[in-house]
Amino acid sequence: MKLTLVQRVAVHAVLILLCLPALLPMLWMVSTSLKSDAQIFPPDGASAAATVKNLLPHPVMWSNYPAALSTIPFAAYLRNTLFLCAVTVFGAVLSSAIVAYGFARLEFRGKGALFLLMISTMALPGQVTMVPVFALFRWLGWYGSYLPLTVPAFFGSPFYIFLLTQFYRTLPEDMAEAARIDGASEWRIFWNVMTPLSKPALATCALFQFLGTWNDFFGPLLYVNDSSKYTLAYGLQQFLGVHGSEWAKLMAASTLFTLPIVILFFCAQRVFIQGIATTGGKN
Amino acid sequence: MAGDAPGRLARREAIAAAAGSVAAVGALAAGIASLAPRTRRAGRKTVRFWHLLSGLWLEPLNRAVARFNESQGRYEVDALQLTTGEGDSKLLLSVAGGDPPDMMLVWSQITSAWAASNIIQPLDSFMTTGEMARFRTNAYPVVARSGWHHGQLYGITMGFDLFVVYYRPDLFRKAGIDPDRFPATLEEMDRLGDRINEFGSGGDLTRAGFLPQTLQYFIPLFGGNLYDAATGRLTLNTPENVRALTFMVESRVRLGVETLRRRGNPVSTSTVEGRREALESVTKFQAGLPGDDGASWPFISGLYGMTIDGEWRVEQLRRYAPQLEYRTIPVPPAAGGKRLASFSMVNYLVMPKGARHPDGAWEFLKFWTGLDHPEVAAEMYPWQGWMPVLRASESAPVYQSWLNTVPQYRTFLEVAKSDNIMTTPPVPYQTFLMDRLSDIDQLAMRGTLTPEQALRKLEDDVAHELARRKSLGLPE
Amino acid sequence: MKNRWIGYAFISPWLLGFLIFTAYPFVASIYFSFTRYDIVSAPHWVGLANYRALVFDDPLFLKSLIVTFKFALLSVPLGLAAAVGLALLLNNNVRGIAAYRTLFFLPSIAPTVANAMVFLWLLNPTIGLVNGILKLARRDGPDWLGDTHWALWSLVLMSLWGVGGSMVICLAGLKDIPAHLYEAAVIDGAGPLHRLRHVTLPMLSPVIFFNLVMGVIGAFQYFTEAYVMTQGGPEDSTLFYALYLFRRAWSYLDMGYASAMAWVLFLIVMAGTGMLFRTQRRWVHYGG
Repeated sequence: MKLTLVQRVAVHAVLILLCLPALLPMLWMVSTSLKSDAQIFPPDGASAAATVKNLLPHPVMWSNYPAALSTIPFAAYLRNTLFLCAVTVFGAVLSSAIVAYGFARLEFRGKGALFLLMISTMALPGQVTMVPVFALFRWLGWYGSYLPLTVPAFFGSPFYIFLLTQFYRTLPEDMAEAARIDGASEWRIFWNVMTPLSKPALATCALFQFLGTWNDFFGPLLYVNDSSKYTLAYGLQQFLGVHGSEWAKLMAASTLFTLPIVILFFCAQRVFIQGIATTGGKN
Repeated sequence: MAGDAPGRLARREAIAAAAGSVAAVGALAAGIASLAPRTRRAGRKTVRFWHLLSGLWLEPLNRAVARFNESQGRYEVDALQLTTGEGDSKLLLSVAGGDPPDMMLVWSQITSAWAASNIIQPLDSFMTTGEMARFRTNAYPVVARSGWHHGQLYGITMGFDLFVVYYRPDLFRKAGIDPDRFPATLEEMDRLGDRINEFGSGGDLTRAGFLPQTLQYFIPLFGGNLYDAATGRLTLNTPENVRALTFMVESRVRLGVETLRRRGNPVSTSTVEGRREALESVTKFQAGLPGDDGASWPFISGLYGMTIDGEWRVEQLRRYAPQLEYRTIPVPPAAGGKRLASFSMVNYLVMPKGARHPDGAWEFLKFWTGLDHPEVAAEMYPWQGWMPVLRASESAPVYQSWLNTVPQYRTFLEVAKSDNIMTTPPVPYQTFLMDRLSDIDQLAMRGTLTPEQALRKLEDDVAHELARRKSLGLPE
Repeated sequence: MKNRWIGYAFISPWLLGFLIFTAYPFVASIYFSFTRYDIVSAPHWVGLANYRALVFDDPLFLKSLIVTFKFALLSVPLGLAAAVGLALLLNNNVRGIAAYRTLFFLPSIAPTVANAMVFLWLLNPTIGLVNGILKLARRDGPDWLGDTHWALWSLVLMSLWGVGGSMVICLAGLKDIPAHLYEAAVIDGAGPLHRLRHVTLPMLSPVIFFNLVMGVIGAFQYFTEAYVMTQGGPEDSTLFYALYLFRRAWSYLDMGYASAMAWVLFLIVMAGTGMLFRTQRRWVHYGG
């Protein structure tokens, strides 16, 4: 939709105004990461106040970044995290898409009840199933490996199944009907018709799963006892201490931690946001 | 989309799917392969040690572990850092799942609970009679009596906290007070704090001379306790405890009243509302402090003139404020109270049930705490800035030379030798008890309840929970 | 033609996963709720004792439930409105829109620690930005996280920072609305507000429904920020149900009681979710 100049200026103005508060966490994080200890904790307490001047680091301690990187085994954590992300994204998106297609497009007895059952599995706080889940993985012999973190992803995740079901149900039926009349199997319809049409939704699920695995430190911590197999999120925790945290290095590590996702999201926007509106789905 | 030939599309997608599957399977295989544990040196038994030390305390621990590994050839300690919130969960699950570590350093006060639930095993069976004798006679009194449950020793202290007064002579002099003559009673010290208070323009509090907080720090000063070891019963709502809480509240009310008066908003202490407003202004001041840990400690920036705090601050002061002039002194007793009294948070080394290499774990414990060679461990304690287990470590030359660089630390060791140290009651429901204690502490500090009401509520809540535990058959 | 088994075949990954990984833990936790269980020793049957104590004998149960309800009642609608509003705003092609979308998504990806620290600093009564601004307007701001009246609302406000995720989902949903529907509406003479009410929102309703249901489920399990920032205080005004449950389970080693708490919550959430699903017919429009 074409906007007039006035409309465009208005949109920019509103966006800038609104995104300033949204930016605040990141700004503070980056700013702290470049400060020296003396500036983060000034000897005179009052000058820690929230002023614009205080947001600017002086001197700018670029050295905080290499210091943070050398304190934790960054490369190993990164490798582990990327591995887990790749596997879980692939597994979760693929399996959830398949299941969602079943719920969204196919008829079978008990569908409504099963769907509600699936939703209900998200309603129980995980704290109380931790013990039997842990026991289950022990019994399977998967304790001490990544398997408890990777294998369940291939069995569909209710969150993505629900999301994709909603998306699939909004897509027009006519192409599927035409393919069915042509004699194509359901799988063929799913793979060749549905999947290309639902790229934004699939990409959204992939992003969320990536984010989830990227941020998960408890999963690896719980099931693996070898710290060289832990993830970046765990590495971040190492800077936190009950009686003294290393704030500058923590913020530097946090910034590095967040950067890949920002870049990923920014670059992959076209995949997310492109939809059938521009591909002329229904004519 | 409609123009693509279905066959070509299908083949492209099929190849992609196949490649993806191969990648996934390969990745899974790599995941399974990671089942094999990493061993560092051949021929050694791996002793798994889990701990919660992070931030500034991580590096000294790793040095100590490396020292141990180099000092002998039978065991290799593999230290794993857990995060505070989840570390306990991981330990509990591993014990329940039958694959616990060999040793763990815990600082939540849960040893009694875990001993009662059979999560950890007794350590006294590992000690020779000589070692036990030396432990009982040479360890500091609070260390020697901590960690016991039903007559057995379940945890050995590694790093225990004590609390003394930190004060700034420069601020004393500025207020016209002689820093060499510190008050002899708690009440006098409190009044002294009034003279050190400073207010900015507009009446805002810019320096609190003395701001009492945390009830358990004050109970022992009044001769009170939460638990009577002789009878094995809780002593929550006692006159001494009420006096301790009242003292804290009154001191804060006074500070708040003065603050509000200077702000041009005077309140009366004879009304509940007035008191509550005064207390609220003090709470707000505290919440407005820039932070509490490491370099943001308000004592460093002069927001506190005097404060009661723990021994770990000494090393932090040396690191973040080496030029700061400060002194430490044991907290003066309240009138009729106990001298050299303090509260102690004790950290324990515990051995979970089902540990695979208990002997290795025990060797490491002896090495690190100095139970076998106090003079060897005396070198490692200064790295953390902790107090040792045995007095023999304190007298070792290497520890003494460290003390000479931080003479203020000696105050803590002086208090450590006292018999008036209060610890968390060794009962299975200790976490519940201490949570409730801090709840009513807050209620009293905010004026929602009077000290009497607050302690009565504590007593009632705990009794209630005890009754429930009893009816369920949980350990008492 | 309607080959029943093909439906089951498609959902079989989830069905299998449920049977292997989820069914046993669920049933086990129901069992635990009828036992006294300290995680390490074997559970011991006590019948309805946990439930009875929970409902009749535990003031914190009711308190934490009320806190959670209050939070959900405010944060879910606000979050939904913000997500949809932002998505509508960002659903255009002005220059640099990709950068804006990334900026709004940023708070959702910053680590919880960073977010918590920022807010603790922002809401600091003496040196925080919020009270600093209020001081310019000559008002004395309260102790946001330390005041029993304000702490919960401060957390509600903080939850708004996390709308980036829901916003992205709404954005994807907006892009799926076929252009020709808008064109037809314009031809019919419909203004922008009319288009919003009769084209955009109905077509977006499946996604809105998703965000609503997930918002409710999430709000009732809200935990992390309260755990990190307020620990349930001041005076239990931010004692969320999930936080209290966590304490009972892991700090007090009272897993049986915690399991009972979990199942009570489950029933409440499912009742709410079930109701929402019922209302689907009335306002959720599935096109195609």
